[in-house]
Amino acid sequence: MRMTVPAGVCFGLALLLAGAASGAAVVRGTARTNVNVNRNVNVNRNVNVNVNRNVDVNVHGGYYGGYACCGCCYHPVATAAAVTATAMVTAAVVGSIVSTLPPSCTTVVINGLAYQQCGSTWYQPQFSGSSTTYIVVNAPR
Amino acid sequence: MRRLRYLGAGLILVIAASVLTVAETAGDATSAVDPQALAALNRMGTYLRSLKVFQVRAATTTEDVLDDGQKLLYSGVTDLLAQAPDRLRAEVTSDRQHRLFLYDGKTFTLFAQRAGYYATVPAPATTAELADRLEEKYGLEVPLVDLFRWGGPRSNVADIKAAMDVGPSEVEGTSCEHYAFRQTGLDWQVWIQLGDYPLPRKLVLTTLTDDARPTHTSTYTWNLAPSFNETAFVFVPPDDARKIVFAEVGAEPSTK
Repeated sequence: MRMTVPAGVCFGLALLLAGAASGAAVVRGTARTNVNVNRNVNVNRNVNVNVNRNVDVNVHGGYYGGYACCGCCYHPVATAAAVTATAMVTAAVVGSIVSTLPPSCTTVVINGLAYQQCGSTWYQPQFSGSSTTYIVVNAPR
Repeated sequence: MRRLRYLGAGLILVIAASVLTVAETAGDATSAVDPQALAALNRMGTYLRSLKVFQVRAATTTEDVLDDGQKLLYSGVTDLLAQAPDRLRAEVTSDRQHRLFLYDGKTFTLFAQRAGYYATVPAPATTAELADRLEEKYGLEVPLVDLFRWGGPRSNVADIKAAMDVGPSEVEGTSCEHYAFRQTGLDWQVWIQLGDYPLPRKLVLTTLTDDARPTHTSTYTWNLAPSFNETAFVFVPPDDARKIVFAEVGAEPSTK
């Protein structure tokens, strides 16, 4: 048995980056980086425990730490939505989250916030923990 | 005869109870909490909480575990400047990320230099509260957060199941005492500077919830008299930086 916590809790840290060709490996967990855990953090809320994503070790967006056991590595990416493969411009579903953008995107600032327009698909960059991810949104204008 | 039999049964019970007691005692002995080790930890926490200002550089390593058990080690450096109770500047430079954390007592900003993205949110009144808020709301861990929790209400001293004083040890030329602790799912060690300044000089965490037991290490270099001014904690976005948002923990993906 690898972990006693719900798999997705820790595995949520791994982002699928299918576009990368080499070095693809599945990260199942990471070392806990703090001793004193914030007990108010409910690590189990809305976690999709079935996600087990691939991560390319060369492109890994990275994250600062996480918790193990009793608080291991919960992550907004895991809690918010499954992080799917590198975006395909033609088939992006609103609400899906990717860790890298397709090629040829344009930065557009609307109401002070940055968006990425990639063909007809719009992505909103966001911090998921300390990692940057991109969530597919409806055209903001 | 019957009375003897009862007596015999009673004796057996007494013996069994004694054996159980001995076994329990032995169990306690193997997982004993050395009160002196706990006292040293508490002294360190009290000292950390007494610092009005500090600068610390932490050289860190963190292991990831791949699906087949293979471990990968990533290195990083965290430069942190803190002024109690409500100023923080932390720059994290690792193999994977370059992040600036800024807290000026009113707002908190996370800046991703390479991507040129930053996000700013209103902040609570103290660094400790900020650490709690960021974790709870955004799944974001303040760098070296233990330095703000030891000696405070979020300290996990009560969770320690075993504590021992390993002995004297030097960390980069500084005389320390080496302590080892066990909690559920975590073994950890701290090297505390000897003398009047009981600072943590090294911290090693071994995660037990994964068979591969990944470790995280931090080696600290302290400066208790840093020179800085207020602008150190204030974020001024570079011209080419773009504002983004924090994804909230447990929030439904935005569909606007």
